[in-house]
Amino acid sequence: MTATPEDDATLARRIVGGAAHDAEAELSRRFAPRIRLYGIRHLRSEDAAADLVQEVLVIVLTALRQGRVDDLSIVDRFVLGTCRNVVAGWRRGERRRDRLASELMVAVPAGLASAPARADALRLMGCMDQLDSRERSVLVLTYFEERSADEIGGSLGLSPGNVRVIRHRALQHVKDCVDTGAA
Amino acid sequence: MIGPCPHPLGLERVTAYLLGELDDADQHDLEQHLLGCASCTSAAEGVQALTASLAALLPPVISAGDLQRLRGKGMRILETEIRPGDDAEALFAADLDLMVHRLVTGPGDDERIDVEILGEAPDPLLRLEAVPRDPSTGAVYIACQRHYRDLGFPDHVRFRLVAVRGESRRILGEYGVRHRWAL
Repeated sequence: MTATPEDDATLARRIVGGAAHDAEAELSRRFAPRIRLYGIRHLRSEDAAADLVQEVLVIVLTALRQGRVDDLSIVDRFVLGTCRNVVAGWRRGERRRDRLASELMVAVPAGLASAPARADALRLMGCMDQLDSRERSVLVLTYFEERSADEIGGSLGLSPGNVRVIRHRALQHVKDCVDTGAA
Repeated sequence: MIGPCPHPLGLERVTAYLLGELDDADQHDLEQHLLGCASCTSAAEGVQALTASLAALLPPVISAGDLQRLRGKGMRILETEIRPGDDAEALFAADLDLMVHRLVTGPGDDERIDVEILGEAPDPLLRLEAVPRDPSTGAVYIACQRHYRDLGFPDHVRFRLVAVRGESRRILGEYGVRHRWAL
């Protein structure tokens, strides 16, 4: 029989006091991709997002060990708050991970912040070829040229809402095509 | 939360989040959900990986602005000028990221420019409609990418530029390129 995985709060409770290295590793493994996504959205860089994962995990694990997280049942909210604080601090020019990590001897497992594998370029091109020209244009303008829905709408004579609908439909087609290998 | 999510986030909402299109309240709700939900984080990571792949996927014809932006990112690019009627040689050296064939033609006020890619046969292998054109010189930039050699194109290709206005199609020129590939 397979054991039921511990939930986040149970792992957090075990970390309080500082002896449960397996719980720290598991909590880090779970939260790393969530923190990374937050970093991608707010820092617009995969390298910076990887740095954010490291810094946030060091702060969270340290706070848990020291019993400074008030409500362990919502440890995810503490992580989110830490993400916000760290990003805001970086925007003010603060960096403190190295000092914290060395003072408190928290070791975040390596490799947690790596990005998931990207789609194969050849398959993706085949899937893009299956789109109609307007769908393809919207995706290229959105992701390659990094233009907003308003800007794309202005170029193509569409409302921003229409651009979003076309973008959604096109992305769904490409995603289905890549997932099923139908190109 | 671990296990399946009872309220999974849709592709449209995740896409809007990653593009920074949500308002503050919606973004806050979504981030709170993601930080607590492994299943939705995993799905959102898939969307992020797909859109990152799209951002890295160069279209086969790029604008002058794209070319400038790629150079600014530090890409190693060999640019070759090709005139109508030329049959140029192009070596994709091992240390290159990209070759750009600059197809020379004069500026014009045509409705659109199409590129036809031809091999030995008279019918095009591929037709690309409404490609970007350098607004000052009229040149068209073909972004020749290393993975194209795996797509089944012959090493010797001709690019035919066609100006389109309404129902009328006028050939502006044919440009031959003999590709050699260094691994």
